[in-house]
Amino acid sequence: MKAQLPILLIMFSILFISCEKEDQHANKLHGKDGVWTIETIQYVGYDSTGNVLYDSTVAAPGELIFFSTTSLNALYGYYQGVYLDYNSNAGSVLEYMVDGSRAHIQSVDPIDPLGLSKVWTLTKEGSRKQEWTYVSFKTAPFTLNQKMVMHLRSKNAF
Amino acid sequence: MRVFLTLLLFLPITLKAQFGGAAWNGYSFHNPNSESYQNFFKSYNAINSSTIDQPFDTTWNTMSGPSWQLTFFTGNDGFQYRANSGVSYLNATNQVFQLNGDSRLLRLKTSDWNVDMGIGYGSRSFYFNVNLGLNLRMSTLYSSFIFANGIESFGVDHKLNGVYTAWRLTGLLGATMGIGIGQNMQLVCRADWVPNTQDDETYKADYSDLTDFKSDNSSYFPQDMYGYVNNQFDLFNNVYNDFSGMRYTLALQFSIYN
Repeated sequence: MKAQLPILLIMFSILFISCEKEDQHANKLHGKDGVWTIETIQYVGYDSTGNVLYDSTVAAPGELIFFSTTSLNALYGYYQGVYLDYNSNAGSVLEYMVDGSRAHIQSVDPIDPLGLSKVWTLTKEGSRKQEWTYVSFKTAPFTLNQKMVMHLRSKNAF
Repeated sequence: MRVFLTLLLFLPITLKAQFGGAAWNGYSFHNPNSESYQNFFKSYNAINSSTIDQPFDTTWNTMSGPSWQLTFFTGNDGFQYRANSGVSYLNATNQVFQLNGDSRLLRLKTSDWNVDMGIGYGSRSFYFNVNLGLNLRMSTLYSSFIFANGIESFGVDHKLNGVYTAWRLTGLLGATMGIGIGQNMQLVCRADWVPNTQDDETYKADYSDLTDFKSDNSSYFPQDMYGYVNNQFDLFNNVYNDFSGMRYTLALQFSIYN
């Protein structure tokens, strides 16, 4: 029994770690102090044949603060947050939802200077660094229109 | 039900018989048959036939993944009763490629939680049980669009994008065989039949993505693409958990006590 205890502990540790908890993705964002710096936002536009029309990057425009407080939209798993814009030194209130594949930012204020209110795809989801991608699509001739890539870094990572 | 399952699990202890406990770590394979998913794959291939380079396989390929189980048993020589509780994580993928290089990727992740009892013969070097119990299947379908340049999207750019979940409680019938390969260690093979009990019911365990931002599109994953094009909000045209088929597990079992 004693000899097998480590094996059993390892087995059941793996089991419990692999159990996906509902809020673990949101915890990554609002855990610790919940402050994430937007390192860069890249905007890439495409023409109908897939050629790049423009490719621009905005560096360090502001930071996102993710709270663990649920919003009025808590039924769908939304929490409260704030975007703090470094240029204007103004904040805008938002709601967010994250499920491991997607993150939805929904601006509560009418001001959304970076166009964050989108359904983002999580291309990298770490507890210190994340990469969110958004694409828009031309309805005809059904080609990629624009790509936005946002790199986030937890302030705790500095 | 909860009391019944608890009693089932701890029956060997309450019988005050010679009893033991064991845990296993293994790998499971499942060849599921799902008519509703087949309808989706076939209709998707048909409606997009002029633009598809490589169609969806018309069934899910073999699902596979790790498995854990905890067992209590009575009797080490002769008639044996076992109470089992475990989980298998099973994954499968299916992908369609268009002529322009774009593709749609479907990933199915399933957690099969089983609680069952086994009756049969057992000794320290060999045992064979017939199992009967319940299987709770919790499934998540990840549906994403991948552009030709490699960008993957779960966003609202394509209607079928989403993370769809469904769960289903069914029966389970199977058999387990264990062969001793060392002191307190056994090689175990288990085969289970997981039946489909959905077709007899009006309300199915549909795959739904109940998010706030999908209100313009259906929150359910469609079964027939022709019907979806005509009316995407038809609630009787959804894929549901109608899986049936054999699930095989190969595992190493360690005795906790006996």
